[in-house]
Amino acid sequence: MIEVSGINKAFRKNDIIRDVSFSVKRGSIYGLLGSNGAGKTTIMRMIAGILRQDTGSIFVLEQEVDENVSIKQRMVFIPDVLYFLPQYTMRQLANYYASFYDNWDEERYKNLIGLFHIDEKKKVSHFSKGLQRQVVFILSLSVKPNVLILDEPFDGLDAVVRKKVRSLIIQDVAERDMSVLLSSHNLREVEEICDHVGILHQGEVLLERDLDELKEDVHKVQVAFKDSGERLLAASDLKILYKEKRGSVLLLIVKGDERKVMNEIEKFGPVLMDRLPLTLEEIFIYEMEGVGYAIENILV
Amino acid sequence: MPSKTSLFRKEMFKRDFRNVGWISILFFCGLVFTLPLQLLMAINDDYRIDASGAGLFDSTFMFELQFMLLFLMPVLMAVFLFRYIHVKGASDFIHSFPISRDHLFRHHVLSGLMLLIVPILVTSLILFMFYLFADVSTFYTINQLGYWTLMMMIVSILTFMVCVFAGTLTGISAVQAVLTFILMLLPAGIYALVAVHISFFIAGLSDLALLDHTIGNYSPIVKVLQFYPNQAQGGFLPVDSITLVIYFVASILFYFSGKAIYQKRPLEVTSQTIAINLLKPVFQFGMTFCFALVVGTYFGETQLLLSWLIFGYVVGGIIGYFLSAMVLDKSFHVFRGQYFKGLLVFGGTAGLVIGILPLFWLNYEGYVPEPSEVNSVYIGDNIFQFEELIENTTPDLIESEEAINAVIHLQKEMINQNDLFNSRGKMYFISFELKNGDHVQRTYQIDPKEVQASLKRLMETKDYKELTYPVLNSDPSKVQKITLQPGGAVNTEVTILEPKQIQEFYQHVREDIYNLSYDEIIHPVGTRSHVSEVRDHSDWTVEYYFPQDNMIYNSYKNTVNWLKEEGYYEDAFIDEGEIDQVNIYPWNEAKKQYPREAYDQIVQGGSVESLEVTDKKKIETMLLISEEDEEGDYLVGIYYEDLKGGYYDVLAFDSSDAPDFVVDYFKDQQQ
Repeated sequence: MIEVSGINKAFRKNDIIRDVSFSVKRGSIYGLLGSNGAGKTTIMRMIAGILRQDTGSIFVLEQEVDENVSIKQRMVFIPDVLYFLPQYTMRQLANYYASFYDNWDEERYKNLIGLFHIDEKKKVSHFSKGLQRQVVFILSLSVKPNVLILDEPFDGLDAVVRKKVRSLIIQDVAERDMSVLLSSHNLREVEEICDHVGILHQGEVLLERDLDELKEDVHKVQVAFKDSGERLLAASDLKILYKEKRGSVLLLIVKGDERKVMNEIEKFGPVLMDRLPLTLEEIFIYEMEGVGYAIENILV
Repeated sequence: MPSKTSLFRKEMFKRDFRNVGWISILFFCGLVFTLPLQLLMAINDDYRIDASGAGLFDSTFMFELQFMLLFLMPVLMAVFLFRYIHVKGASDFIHSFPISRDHLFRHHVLSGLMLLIVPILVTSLILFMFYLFADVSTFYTINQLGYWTLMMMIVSILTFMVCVFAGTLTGISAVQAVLTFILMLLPAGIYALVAVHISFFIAGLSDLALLDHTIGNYSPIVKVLQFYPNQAQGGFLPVDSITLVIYFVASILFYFSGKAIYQKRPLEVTSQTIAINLLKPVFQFGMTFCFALVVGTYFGETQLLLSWLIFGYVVGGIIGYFLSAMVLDKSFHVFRGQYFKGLLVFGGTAGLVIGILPLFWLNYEGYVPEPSEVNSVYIGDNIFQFEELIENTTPDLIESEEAINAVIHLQKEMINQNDLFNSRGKMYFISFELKNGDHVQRTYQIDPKEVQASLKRLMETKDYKELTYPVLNSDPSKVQKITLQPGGAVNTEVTILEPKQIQEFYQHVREDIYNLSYDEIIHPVGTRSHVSEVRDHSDWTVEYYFPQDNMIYNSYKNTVNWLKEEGYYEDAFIDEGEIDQVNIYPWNEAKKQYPREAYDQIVQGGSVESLEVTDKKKIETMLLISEEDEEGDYLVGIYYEDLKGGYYDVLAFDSSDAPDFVVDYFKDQQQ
């Protein structure tokens, strides 16, 4: 759905994006993670067809995106800082959107208005920040896009609205196989909704992962051995990313197939062995340390 | 699926109307106020001043206000319509929509043009209604209304398109507006600056004098603002029809260039002064170059020294370069290392261009037509005199081979001797008409003394005299009355009515003029008498040119003898009987002063003793040799019998003309 390969971009001779490649599959939700200034917004503006990359290519729905009206018909971009036509009411905005997008679904729009309790006759610029973001979601989803690009989409939304928006997105992904690319500097947010994650740091993609795979692949295990178990464990060929000892209890982060890992540890005769839940944050902390970065420097 | 195109335009146009509709309405109100409303008021005003004939650009219709609207409204329109490409949020918003830049551009230009043209057309329609249903014939004709509509439309379109074009070059709306006016004035400015610059180094450039006529061709704003309704009788319009066609074509070019740039333009340049990287060096060079010329010209013109001129170029170039750097960076911190490197590059290039430019005119400077190519020549003081002459009369231009050779010889010499930084020179304007129909025009500034021999050769020719003294060609039978008034504070005058006497008078004057030597032409000797004619109605145009030559002098022997014979002499010139006393002072120094100034200074100084002449015979001698001139070796104060202690005239004469009693007196003084 979105194919970014080898793009570079410089503003006034400063490299902002360096050789970035990634892809978002049909029906998938891809989270672009990175601190402020990492280049997330620039990448999204390029994919949305606003900016042009200096080198490399961007394909959306198998076509070059730049100045491509038919692709833009099926793609909606919601920026981090919202812009509204001055003095426009909700209804006028809806008409404006409807005049541009062939797929405008008036019925859906009416439903969403009802769902979010929005007064069509009020000027959007008078709405609160959170309400304004909902307005944009309603307008964008009424267009029924195949590709949705969201820059920091949940900023400024309270938990209730965030949940509503999230379920709307997930619903569209499930029903219509919509692809979503979203950016965030908040790992937890991404974890809740994304199935793929890429980490962007100083204009470069540091790593890219399938979240389900990742979670299946990395395990947090709490074990205690009686005697020589610990030594044997150290000598084994298990991929231990992290090891911590509290008293006689060992905390391990291990990479590999779940059953294999458990069987392997079992061999050393632990007196205690538990699998603990692992957060995305922890996985990244350990993964990134592996590549030589401290996660605190990359995500805030 | 139904096409979205029609809907499309409607919503976008609605948006544009919400955005800039007020400008259109403001424009309309302005036009209604200046035209239909003023017309209505003028129709009801019994004491109104009659219209000048300038139609709808008359002062009745506040043409200044119209021109202001004409250049302000389209700029406002374009700035607000294209504001979205200068604001990041708006730019991202609209450019993420499924619409191509080409389409956006086309659409906004179309809305802008509509919103500009509709107010003009509606105003025009209202005026047409007046034309149909009221008597407005003293104000405008239907043609004038048509011209007004066309000219307002085309100039607004041009201004709008220039501003749209400027908008695609920059990322700041304020810069867009400023850039629009710069673009519309710059060609005229550069033209004037380059012309002045070249005139410092190239002899003969007469374009400078023509600047006023031609500069409007380089700038629509200058062109329109040069209009003044009082000159409108001769069909003079703010913009003539050929120029309107050019403006229209230029608008189309600006449209396509603007569109091309907009399509290429990176969108991240919002809030940058210059959006197109390629233009930045052009901008910096332009600023450096123009400032160098402006400051150079200023010092060159005021100081008239080459060293000051060069100083001005250097200082101006430096100022221009740093200003351009500040504008581009939007910061004062430009006095740093890397910028000085730029100064070297841009300053050097500008210096090179400034240095090389005059070289392209070397051919121009050195060009002298071959005598065989020349059909006729005019020579005079300046181009305006020439233009006035050929506009009102058919002058007798120089055509004889001898005189043409003399002009060419003089021109060659002036090219060699021309001192462009000399403020004391006299202006000479030469206009050749070649046999192939071309015109070659040159202006030189030179001290006549340096080309004396050539001037003498020319000025003593019959052709030159016939060109310069219209009395040689005019038809005396058309003259009904001649009046001679002595130069000086006396009340006498002579009136000649008898046709035979008139004929004779002219015959003698002509004989004298044909006999004038070079010295007598440039320094006419003796007191003068002013000749005024009353002519036959059919011949009136000839009467008023060259008023300075409607003089006869006491040294015109034939004429003076004739006047004496006829008994007119005493009343035609000042004579000794009317003079109380003449005071003579030697005039040795301070020749930059006017004689009267010098005379008063010497009298007040009191250190020089004057020769006081009261003897009538000697006074007569003095009147015959004194000249009304700015040069001489002696000053002569003339005190009138009737004005004792009051007004006096000051004349001068050369020592070569000095009578013995004067020479002797001052010789004794010195001893």
